Amino acid sequence: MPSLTCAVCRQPRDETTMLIIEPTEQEKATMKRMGEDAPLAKYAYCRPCVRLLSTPMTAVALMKGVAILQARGRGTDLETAEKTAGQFVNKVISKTPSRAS
Amino acid sequence: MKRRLPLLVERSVGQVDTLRQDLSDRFELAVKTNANVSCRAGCSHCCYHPISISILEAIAVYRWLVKNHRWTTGLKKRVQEAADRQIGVSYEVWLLSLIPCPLLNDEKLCSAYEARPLVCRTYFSLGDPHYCHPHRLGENTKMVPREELVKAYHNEQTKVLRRHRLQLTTLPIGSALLLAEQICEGETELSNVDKLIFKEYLDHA
Repeated sequence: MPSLTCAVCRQPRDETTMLIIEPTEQEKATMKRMGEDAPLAKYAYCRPCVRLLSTPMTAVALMKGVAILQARGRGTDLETAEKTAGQFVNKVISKTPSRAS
Repeated sequence: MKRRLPLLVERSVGQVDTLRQDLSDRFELAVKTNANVSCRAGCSHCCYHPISISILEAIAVYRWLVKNHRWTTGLKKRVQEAADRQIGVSYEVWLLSLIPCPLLNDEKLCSAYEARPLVCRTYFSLGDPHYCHPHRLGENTKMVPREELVKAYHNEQTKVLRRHRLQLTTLPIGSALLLAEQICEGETELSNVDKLIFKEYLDHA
């Protein structure tokens, strides 16, 4: 059974159960501008992570948590990491189309 | 009225419940006499940490909730939502997503405090609780998990569950409570738990 690694939890999962996103060239360019050195041709997400990312409450917490973790991993102090992650998440939310619209 | 389960199941639930009470009584005495413990009612950071319990412990918690009229439609909905979110999720993602324990109510208090699982009783903080938040875990976190106590309890439960031919010792708390309801209401048998959780995992993960 072919497996892929989930972009969020890094767990290997059955490829047929995963959500595969292939970013467009425009999206890859945006990702590079945001600091992603080498965007991948495709990103795979497992069902448990997709469920969490589809729920506003857990999606916001997960994005913020990952951003804090990454910042702390680069040596940023906790307070700054939380502040930066909060700004990042607010920016993402402001650019996310509302379901109602 | 409480439905009686098969004698062997009742005996196992009782055995685990007695052990939990015994361990937690001794443990709480030690915590209450420690002036450095900083845990306070209303601080719920550890309720966002992954919580897995055995089906036997879940049955005891479920029965307490029913007996005390706390197993309401609202609570069951929260448990169902938690079960959907928790199944198949890795420990790290569970922490980062801030998935609350379904027993945590709107006032940030435990709906089953008197009957809460042993793992919840054994975590306490000796530092600033601010750092117990899942996003802030690190060197400043002074949570004491009492791993030896939890391990001994886990091993004892494993032995009891093997008598029922069950291999999985703990399940995410949401799924465990839903299965406990099914068992207590006669919709399924204890021996089916592994099969049901495996099916749930296949369906969701």
